[in-house]
Amino acid sequence: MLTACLAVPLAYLVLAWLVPARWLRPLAVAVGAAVLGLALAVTAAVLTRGPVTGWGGILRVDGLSAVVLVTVSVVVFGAALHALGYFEVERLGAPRERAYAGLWAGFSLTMLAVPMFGNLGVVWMLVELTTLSSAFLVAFEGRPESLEAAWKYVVVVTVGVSLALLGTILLYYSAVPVLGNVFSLSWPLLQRHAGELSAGPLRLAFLLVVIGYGTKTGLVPMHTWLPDAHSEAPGPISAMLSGCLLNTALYGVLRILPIARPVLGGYPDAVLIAFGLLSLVVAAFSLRGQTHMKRLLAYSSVEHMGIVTLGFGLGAPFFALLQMVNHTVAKSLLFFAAGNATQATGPGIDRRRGLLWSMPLTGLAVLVGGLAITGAPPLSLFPSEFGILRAAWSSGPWLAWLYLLLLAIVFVAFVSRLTALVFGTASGVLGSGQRARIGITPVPPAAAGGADIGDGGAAAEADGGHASPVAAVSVTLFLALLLALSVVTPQALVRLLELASRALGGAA
Amino acid sequence: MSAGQAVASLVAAGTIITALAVLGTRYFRSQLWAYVFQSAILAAYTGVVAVLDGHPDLFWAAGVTLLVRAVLIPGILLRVARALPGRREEALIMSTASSLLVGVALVVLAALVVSAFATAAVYPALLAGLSVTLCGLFLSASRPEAFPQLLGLLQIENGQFLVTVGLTPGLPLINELVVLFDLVVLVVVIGVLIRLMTTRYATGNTATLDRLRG
Repeated sequence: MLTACLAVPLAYLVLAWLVPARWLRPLAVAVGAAVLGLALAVTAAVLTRGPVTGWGGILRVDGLSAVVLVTVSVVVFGAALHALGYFEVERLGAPRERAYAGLWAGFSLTMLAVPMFGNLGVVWMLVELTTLSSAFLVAFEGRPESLEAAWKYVVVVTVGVSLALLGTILLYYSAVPVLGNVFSLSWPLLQRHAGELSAGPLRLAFLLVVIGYGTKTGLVPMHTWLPDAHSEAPGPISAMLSGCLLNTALYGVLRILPIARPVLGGYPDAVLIAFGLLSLVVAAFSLRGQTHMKRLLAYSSVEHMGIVTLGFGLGAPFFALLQMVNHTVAKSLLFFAAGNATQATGPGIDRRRGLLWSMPLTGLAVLVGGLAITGAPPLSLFPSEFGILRAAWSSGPWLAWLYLLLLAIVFVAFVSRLTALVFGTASGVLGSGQRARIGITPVPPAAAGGADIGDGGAAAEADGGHASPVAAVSVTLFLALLLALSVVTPQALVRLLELASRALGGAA
Repeated sequence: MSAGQAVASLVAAGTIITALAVLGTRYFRSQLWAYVFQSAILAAYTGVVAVLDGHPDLFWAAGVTLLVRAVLIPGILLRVARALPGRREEALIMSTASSLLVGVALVVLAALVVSAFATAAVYPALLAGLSVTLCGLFLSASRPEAFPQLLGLLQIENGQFLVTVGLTPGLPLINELVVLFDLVVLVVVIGVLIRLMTTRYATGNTATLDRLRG
């Protein structure tokens, strides 16, 4: 089952060079659906029978791995659906679409593999490999800005992640007195001997691992690559960066956390709280004044990764994981909607006031997703943000007040941008007479070809701000998922999160 | 002092000096030669550890290091550098003298951190590895052009390799895989990106890459 989950995207990676170009998109959706189905099957097995292993113990999926695996596969599926609409509008031609398909498969494959491997060295390599495939995807649209973003992404993240390797090596060194000179760097083994590691190197190791993987998670002050990469990548990829890449990077930290805690006591939690709070502070004040929709969402990702990290540091892993899952769904929805809106009318917020009137479904998705992401009450992120607040209160009222204040700042900043975007009069680029409605405006004839699509936004504007009918599919699906998760948290999810938080050594 | 420790101390001195040398110049070629020298020292050290500690698989790692880090990568970088328009001096944000001072401060910092827990046997390798890593980090953060940034990254890899070999020579298999995967990432992604940038801007200066702010 685990093998199949990796084999499917691998097969697509190969097929992407062989099959006719028109099959690429539907095949990608099938791959995404298969991956999602397999990931859910693996999760069900983990829930009923405990950890699933494969390849003679090399692959090992427990509750925590399963949470990450599910979030990744949900977004991989969503991105495949969203790519239908993306390419409908961009019309890049067969070779570029083939390149995209291959890179997408590689990116998905490496991210799916990260939570599956039981060896921390292999986990590190896979995290490094996710940079390889995604860097080209960030640069995919080929503008000077996208190249700049990709360069920054590669340099900052590679430097960061290499510090995580240093941390992993020191972790190994800290276990040498116990386990001898040669042993496998597998987390189940290290976890069994967690109380016997030597504290000195372990302390440095944990800090380096948090800085290293934290760079890729988007924790401040190593977050500088994130807003650029998220805003310059194509729509489906932005969702994958925010919805799964950040989770898989954080997974690297979470694996070390229960190994470090028994010896180091409160130190790991203090480190996580410090990075979490700092991210929350910086993101809260950066959200103000963002004029670019996807940058706004990117800073919101920094904020949420800060909240999640804070939650783990405060000893509330259940709510931190719940926050992670719900953030994945809500942020993917927002990036899909933002992608559609960007393709129709360009990336700016002010230029596209009145989204609800010009593109009703997209506008609704942005409104609901935006309210959810700020943690507004009936929606899905409220319970987890509240749970983390309670954890903060029990560890110190000043912390709880600070957290609450920061959430309020985020709320005001985000909602003010949101109302401009969603409710403003549609007097900007779109005249009231040329309202584009998803599912109604016909796609222009293929005559546009592949020549001058470099500036997709402008091209779409000339057509009166259209979006393809298939673009509505991913948005509708994720909107429904978000609303469903707001109404009820499925029992299976609760059990999975409880299982995962036990692995992290916290109370559920 | 055992033979192993003596060699490790010598290696530590050599790698730290080369790391500082890279910081102290603004000529790409000099930096590249310092890097080649550093990689060669590293390869030799790996070979010595393989003999002294009896880890025959490290010979393989030594060979790969020598071939790839001392020959292949510098060769590729030189070729790309030749394709760039003919400036030889890098743009600087901070003068080379100040960079050098920061570098020395970083080595002192590394010594403070490492002496907190390292035993005498692993002290030199750990100190050198951490120093080279920090100097590389500072190099890639403080230079506006693509080449020194890349060289900083390569030095970080060297520093880590030094820590691995000096600290945990028994680290199984991962050792070689790590070396290999790093190279894949560096050569493919960064090589291609430099190519893209040179075609776009006709300069390797990332200071022109400043449109994305905030």
